Amino acid sequence: MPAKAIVAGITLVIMVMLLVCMTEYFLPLSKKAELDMLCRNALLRMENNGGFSSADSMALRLKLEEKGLTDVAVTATPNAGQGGMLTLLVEGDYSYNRITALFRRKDVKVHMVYHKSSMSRKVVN
Amino acid sequence: MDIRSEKGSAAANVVIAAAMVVFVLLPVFSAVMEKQILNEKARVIRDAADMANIGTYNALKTENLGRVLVDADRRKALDIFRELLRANLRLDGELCPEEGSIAEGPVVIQSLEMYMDGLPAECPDGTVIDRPAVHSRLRVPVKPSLYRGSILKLLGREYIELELHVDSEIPVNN
Repeated sequence: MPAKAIVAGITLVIMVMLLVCMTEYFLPLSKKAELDMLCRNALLRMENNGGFSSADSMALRLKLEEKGLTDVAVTATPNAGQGGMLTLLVEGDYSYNRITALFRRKDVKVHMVYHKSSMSRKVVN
Repeated sequence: MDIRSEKGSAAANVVIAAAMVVFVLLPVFSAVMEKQILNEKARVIRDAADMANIGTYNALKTENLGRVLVDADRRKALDIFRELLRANLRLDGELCPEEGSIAEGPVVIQSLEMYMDGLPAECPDGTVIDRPAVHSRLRVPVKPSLYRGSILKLLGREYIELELHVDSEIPVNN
């Protein structure tokens, strides 16, 4: 009987660990969705303003760092007239603590990139 | 004599637990994860189509705007749409995927409609449009991420084709 209880306990621990491990796979996916949403809003603003100022770039970087990204680099077209191509490239690292083996957790770094283009709507008089 | 044990055995417990992991836990997790990844891919494609839709603003005939007439050069709109779609989905001139593209095969622009007058109107997918807008419909082949070979083999297909439609309002008051 004790053998059965021990085996049941170990099995339960392994199953819980598997469930936690699987749940943690979704973390970078949701973080990427957040990054995409912030960058998309920035690109729409760029489209309206005909470019991205250094203040806008700093604000975006701060927002991304608040979301937990590190080493954020923002490269964007500073200005373009109506019909000009605008490009926004944002790169950053997301580190999170994940189960890598039984009873072992480790920091894992995921590199995230947002690279999209749009067309300026700003009419320069 | 009854040889069955009412207490069961530890080995049987292990086998049952392993079977639960292999036949229940892992397949359910894989299906949920696969669905989540496909949804993410669809979101990225929808975003790209939306940016391309909004970009067609640049095809508006500006000489008519002063007369409160909103009209567009349809040929130019399609060119802009293709250009932005190519840039955002990493496609070549034939709309075939380049390195780093989310698409796994040629992308097909099934429709691109501009609604400028006669509003409210209904797009081919049933959305009611009451302001100047662009409707686009794309077919994008993608591959499943987990167990991709097995899933496609079961479906008897090379790709999963995502058909997405996006309606975007054109900002005519800019």
